[in-house]
Amino acid sequence: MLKRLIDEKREIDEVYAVGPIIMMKVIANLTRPYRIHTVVSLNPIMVDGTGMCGSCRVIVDGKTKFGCVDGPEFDGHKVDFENLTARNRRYLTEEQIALKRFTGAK
Amino acid sequence: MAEGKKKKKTKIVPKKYPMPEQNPKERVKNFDEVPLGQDGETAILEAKRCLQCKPSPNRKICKDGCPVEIDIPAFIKQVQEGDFAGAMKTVRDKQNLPAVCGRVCPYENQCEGMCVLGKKNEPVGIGRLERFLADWERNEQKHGKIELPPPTGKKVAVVGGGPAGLTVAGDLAKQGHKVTLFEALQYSGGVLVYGIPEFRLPKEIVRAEVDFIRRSGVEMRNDHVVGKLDTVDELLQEYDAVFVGTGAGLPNWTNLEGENLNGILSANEFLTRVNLMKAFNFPEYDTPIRVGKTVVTLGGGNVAMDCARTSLRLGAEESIILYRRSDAELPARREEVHHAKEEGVRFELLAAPVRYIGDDEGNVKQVEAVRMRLGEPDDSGRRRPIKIEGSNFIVDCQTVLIAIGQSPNPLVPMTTPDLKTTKWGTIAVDAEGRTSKKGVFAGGDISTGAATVILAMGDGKRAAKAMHKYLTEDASWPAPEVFEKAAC
Ligand SMILES: Cc1cc2nc3c(=O)[nH]c(=O)nc-3n(C[C@H](O)[C@H](O)[C@H](O)COP(=O)(O)OP(=O)(O)OC[C@H]3O[C@@H](n4cnc5c(N)ncnc54)[C@H](O)[C@@H]3O)c2cc1C
Ligand code: FES
Repeated sequence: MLKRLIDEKREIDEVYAVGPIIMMKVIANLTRPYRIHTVVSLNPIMVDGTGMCGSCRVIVDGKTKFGCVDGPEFDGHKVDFENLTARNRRYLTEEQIALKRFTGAK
Repeated sequence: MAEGKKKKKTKIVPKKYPMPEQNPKERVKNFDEVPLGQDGETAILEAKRCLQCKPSPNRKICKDGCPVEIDIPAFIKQVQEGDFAGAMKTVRDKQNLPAVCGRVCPYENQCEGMCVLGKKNEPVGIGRLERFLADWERNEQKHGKIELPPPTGKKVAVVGGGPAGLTVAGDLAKQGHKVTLFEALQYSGGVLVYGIPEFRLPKEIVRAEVDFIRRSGVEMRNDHVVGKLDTVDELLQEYDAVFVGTGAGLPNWTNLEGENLNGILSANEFLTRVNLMKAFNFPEYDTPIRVGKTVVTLGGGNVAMDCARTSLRLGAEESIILYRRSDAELPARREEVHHAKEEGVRFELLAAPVRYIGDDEGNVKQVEAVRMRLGEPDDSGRRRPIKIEGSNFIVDCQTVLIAIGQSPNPLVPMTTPDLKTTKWGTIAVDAEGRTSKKGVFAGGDISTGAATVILAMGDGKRAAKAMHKYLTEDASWPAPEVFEKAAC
């Protein structure tokens, strides 16, 4: 869809992508060759959300940033999505336990 | 036990009366407090060890070592006489957080470090006496009703609910000002709730102190991040004065290769997960924590000791502290180092990390470190650690905790353009806690850099005094040059 819009040569100055990591990654990869500025809204695992723990750290342009206070919007072309994907899988097992408890309790 | 009052010279008791502690083997399996406190009888005996030295210009005594100048000889005398309520009044005169400071103050460098008895024997256990009194007061519920003066009509905003902010809020409320405290987290207490572990400072105690302040009429707005939801400038439109006590919560990193691997956490993240979010109770509470078999903690301060000891309690089989200098330079309190060793924390001294090595899934599996030796003293007066080339070694581990210091929280300075900061990122203040922005005061770790609870509380007391003066008598403000110098 986005690709069609671009291919139709519509004038697009900026793209906002908010959603799952994989979707934001794909969109950023899609717009990169066209140099369309792309803003992504990241969802790293946060603990306090006040910039004091670094649980939410993401690599942007080779530098470590805190998603909660420096973001959550970043330039999609500069985000290290591999690292973010790996970091967000940190507590997968525990997340499943919590989900089971939650749904089971209902 | 009935000694003659003044005439008979009492015999010196060389050692402190022991304070019972949980057995190390047992306590590594729980989060309960390690030292168990003293009873009234022991407290009186301990107080009787005191020589009641008189202050004199050429001799320093306990009182001179106290950052907030508690009249120590006076309260000890009251304890000797069994007048706990009176003693507590003397303490409270200068001290807003006695139950906290009676546990976590570095007494050995402060009051007890100056104790005259301590020159040849063990000093009087001033810290444990303070703790005893505060606990006694809490248990006897002697907090009583809080008498408040008529309202002054002035409104004050306090940003940050750590020891500094709580002190300012409490002191100003007691003087009739309408205080609102804005705290980013869901509970107030700052490092006292998210950093210092339960086994050193039970959260119940912090809650009681926070409650006391709430009962003094302070309105607490939690989950409110100033700098995101609103700014100091906006607060100034609604309030007559603002105090900033946002602490030094920004973790320092090692900036080594592999630092963003899974399993590498800042001390703050680790301790917050455990203390504030109760991860040790997962899945009862939603926040998880996983430490694996071996935990490596980088650093040698109180924060590092807290991390290493907490790891054991979470079930780690091995908890290793990696510190680049030697035992003598460990910045942590001796008592904490001693407790850590008793519990089986392994100290890998004169060693520093070089890089972190991960597995295929992005989890840390090893730390590569290098041996160090001590060279000439550096600016801080401590001997500089120097790498021994070729001495690299590998430690297998599943978790790495980074406890190498904290920097001032940048959010408020960043969003308050005319608030001057120093090159360390601290907010520049004068002796009264005034900042470069009229009506805005600051204190605690945000203006001193990471320090101690008692210093933050002392800062709070000084600022509260200055704020009261500013609000009621004299609204003058220092010239900008004062802060130019501080901010250079
Ligand atoms: C693990 C650990 C162990 C320690 N052990 C000891 C010890 O044994 N003895 C000792 O004396 N000292 C110890 N310290 C140091 C001591 O805790 C601090 O010096 C003290 O807490 C500083 O108090 P503060 O009020 O300045 O800041 P903090 O306690 O850091 O409180 C600042 C508060 O401000 C809040 N805040 C920050 N930004 C905002 C914002 N933008 N809006 C709203 N709220 C905000 C934070 O959430 C926090 O609650 C330790 C520190 C740590 C981390
Ligand atoms: S969530 Fe803790 S620093 Fe961002």
